[in-house]
Order: sequence, then C-alpha cells, then structure tokens
Amino acid sequence: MASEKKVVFLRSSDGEAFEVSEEVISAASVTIKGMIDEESPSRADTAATTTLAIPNVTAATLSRVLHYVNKHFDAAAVVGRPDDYIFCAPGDEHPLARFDDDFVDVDNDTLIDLVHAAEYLHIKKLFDLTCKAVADKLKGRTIDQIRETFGIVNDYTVEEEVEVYRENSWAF
Amino acid sequence: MAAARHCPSWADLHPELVALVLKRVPSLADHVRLGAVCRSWRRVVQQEPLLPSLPWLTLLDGSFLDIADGEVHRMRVPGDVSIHGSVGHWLFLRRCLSGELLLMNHFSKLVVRLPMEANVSPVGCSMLFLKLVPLSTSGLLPDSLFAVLMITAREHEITSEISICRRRSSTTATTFRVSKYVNDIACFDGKLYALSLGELFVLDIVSSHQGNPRISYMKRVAKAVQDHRIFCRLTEDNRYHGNYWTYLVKSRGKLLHIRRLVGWLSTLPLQLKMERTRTVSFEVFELDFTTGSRHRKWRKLYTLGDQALFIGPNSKSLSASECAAQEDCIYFVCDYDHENWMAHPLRDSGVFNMRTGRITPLLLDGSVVQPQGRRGCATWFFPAKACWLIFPGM
Repeated sequence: MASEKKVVFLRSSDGEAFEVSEEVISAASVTIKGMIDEESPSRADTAATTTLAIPNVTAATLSRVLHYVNKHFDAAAVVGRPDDYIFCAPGDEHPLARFDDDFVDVDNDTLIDLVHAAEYLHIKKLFDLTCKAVADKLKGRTIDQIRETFGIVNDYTVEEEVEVYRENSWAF
Repeated sequence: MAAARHCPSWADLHPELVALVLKRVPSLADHVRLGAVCRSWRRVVQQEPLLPSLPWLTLLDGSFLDIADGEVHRMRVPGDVSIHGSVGHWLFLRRCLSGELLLMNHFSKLVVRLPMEANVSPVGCSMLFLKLVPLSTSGLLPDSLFAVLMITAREHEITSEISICRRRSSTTATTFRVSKYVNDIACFDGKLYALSLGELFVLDIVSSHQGNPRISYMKRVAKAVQDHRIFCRLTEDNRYHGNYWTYLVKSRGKLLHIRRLVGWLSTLPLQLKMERTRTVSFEVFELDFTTGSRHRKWRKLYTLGDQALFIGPNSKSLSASECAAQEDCIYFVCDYDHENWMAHPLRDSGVFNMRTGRITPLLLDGSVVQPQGRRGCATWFFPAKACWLIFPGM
C-alpha cells in the first residue's frame, strides 16, 4: 500500500471531479495542502479516497490549473518526458518557458479565472505567471483600449475625467 | 451557457490583485493610464508605490524619453529655460536670460525660485555646468538645505562656486568661491564632498536656523588616484587626444569616483571637436574609509555588483535588478558642451559594460525626435509618483 501513490479528487464548483496525485497537488497548492492536512487524522485508518470541494473554481478552469500543476510540480513528468522538449527552445530560460507562454495565451475571461483560481488555491508560481500576463496586456495601452479589452465601464463624471486628462495629459 | 457562467469583471478585480498586477508594470505612464481607467483602479494606483525604474532622459524641448521602451512623453516646461537636472520630481531649471535658478515640480508645475539671483550674473560668463545636491536624505522638503555647484567661464578663466541654500528661505544664499576647479559634488553620509582634479575634499557646512548656512572650510581628504592625467594621447601617432571627466556618485553605502575617458580627433577644427568627442571607457574607484581621515585612498573597482550607474549632470546609482537595468553597467549621456544646442541630445550617450569594456547604444532603436531650440544637455530624470494625480474629492 505504501508504495502506491495516493490520489485526491477535487470537485469543481459545477460538480465535476478531477483526480490528481496528492503529492503533486500538495507541492503546488498551499490551500489544498492545508485541506489535506486537516483531513489526515480521520483518513489515516480508512482506505477511502478523499474528495475536496473547490467551490470557487469551475471545471474548465480547474482542468487548466491541474494541467499546469502536473507540468510544473510532478517531478517525474518534468524530467525526461519526450513531449516536454517540443516546448523547449534553445535559449529558453527553463524547459517550461514555452509551455508557460502558451498557457497564458488565452482570452481575458479565461485569464482572470486563472488569476482568481491561482490566488484561491495559493499556487504562487501560477499566480506570478498569470499576473505577469495581465500586466503585459496593460502595458503601453491607451485608457480606451484597456476599458474595451477588459470590459470596464468608465465611472468618472465628465468633470472628473476632464481633470484626469488635464493633470496627466503627458501620459495619454 | 456563457451568460449563466459566473463571470468576474475586471473592474471588480480585487484591489490586492490589481496591486499585484501593478507591481509588474514598471512604467509611470502606464500607472497613470491605469489610474484613469475607473475609480476603483485609481484608488489602488494611488496607494501603490512606483517601483524603481529606468530613468527618463530630458530632451530639452519639454519632452522626456523613457529609455526602457523609447516612449516619448511631452510635458510643459517654460520656454525660456534650460534644464540642468532633477531631484525627485523636481526639475532644476535656469532662465536663459536672467540666469535665475528655479525648481519646478514636474507634475504639478509648481515653481520655486532659488534664493540665488545675486550670485548668478551671466554677463560675460558662460555657464559650463550646474548641479544641485540636496543635503538631507529627505530630498527637497521645505526648509531643507541643498548645495549648488556652478562652473562658469569668462574668457579663459574657469571659476567654480558652491552655494548653500535653504528652500523657501527669503535670504540670499551664501556662496563659497572655490580656489580650485571643482568638477563634481556629492552628499555622502551627511557630508558634502567635492572632487577637484581627482582630489577629494570635504566641505564643512555651518548652519543655524537664524543665520545663513555657509561653508566654513574645505579640507582635502584623499589624493588623486594614481596615473592621474587630465590630458592624454590615445594613439601613438598623436591623432587622438583624450581627457578625463570625473564624477562623484553615492552608491549603496560607497562613495565612488568615476573616471570617464573621452577622446577626439586632434585634426578636427575646434568647433567640431566638442561635437565629435566620444566616450572611450570608464574606471570606477571606491573611497576607502578604513585609512586615516586625512589620507584616504581610492581603491579601483572592477565590478559594480548589482548596481547600475547613471552618469551625467545628475548621476545616480540604482539597483540593476530592481530597475531592470543591465547589471554592472554604466549608462551615460553627454554632460559637457551645454551651450551647443544644435548638437543631438543623445550624442555621446551609451551603456558601458564593466565586464566586457564594450559600449552599446542607450536605445536600440535610434529613432528619436530631434528637439529644437533648447540649450543644454540631456539629463537623467528619475520618475517618482509622489505628486501626481491630485484630484479634489476623489
């Protein structure tokens, strides 16, 4: 029994369950590690598999997150699996740089879901990656472009907006 | 389906998340734009400090070049001034005709006159160099002391003067006429230091709340570095001549003496020599504080570690990793030749790599607007966020 890898099931907000190695998800997510640790005493003498509810994350997002987690935190997968090499170009800082770039090359709603999921699950590497991707979408954009891209409603009054432009006209 | 899905809006993005995203956006211009998007983002932007970033270059016609991305920002600067550097968000200006010295808040446009009118008489003199150095770490708060180094030339005589002023003081500043030619001054560890032909002096400042602050004496604390030559021949055939420009820079607990070797073709006509002068290399020396207080020595440094130096009329040292500069590099602009306003502001600028000794262009893309009708040299401006975005009721 001891040599067998333990798994846990994560249930998304819309009810879908995903299987993941306990070791891998514990290394990745501080939140889930905490949940598993809390469950442990009651679980020790039973063979039942744990299912953890993740009420804040949808199935679509959770499956993406787990794809990322398996790539980055599964030591056996990271080293020496041939299909990783297709993501690794010469000069890449780390073998998964290309994977990361592709991973965050998604529409804005998907990206914000990933930011929220990474924050809730407390996966620092994923949070840094997605925040940086959001930052890259904001750099060098005009105010109107940012509002349009991210669907933000302008809640300034006309007077306030005139003042905003007047004070900082150099930046617009 | 899509409508039923829980869809968090970007405007509702948790303030802490916006703040974390902002930390990954280094440019001040981007911060200002993000703050203008909606009210909730503005609140975050106002609270979030701007990370140290690569400085801007003032292009003398009121525009500022962000060397990180080549973006040019246009800001209003009065028409009859030359720009001589910056302290925080204050630009240090001089009126061309009257010689009056001003500080202008870059963002709020507030102008403060320096109490120095009496000392600045441009009649018959040409201004070679002006530098303002705050004497306290808090920068230029009201009532804080600062020093101004002014180097002028009348015919062939070059004069260095150091004035000590108090901001918002109605009294005239006191001026200390230095018998030596002072190239640069810097405040280090609460003391004012002056560099003269490679020798280092400390200036004793007497200041009380009643009387004028003044310099009581100037004392040598370190001899010139060895192999000190002001003028040299760079090639065997005597076609290239060289000269050292020297700088004093405070850098993470160290007082640095930077020697910049510039060279020019000796066969050029006089008026072209200055314009065609090019930087050849840099040397960096650190003041050794372990030896006796009157006989300190300079120790040559071969690496700057994590620091990047920005050399020019107002030199500064920043952490390279924090401001996304190239490590172990010296960024430089042309700070001589103030009066040659036809010359390109980015002439003799670049990035000197301490490890390889090679110089690369400051901007990879050299397409910069040519500013018109301003005198002076490009100076570094280190963006700060303290004083922008003052909106009543928000």
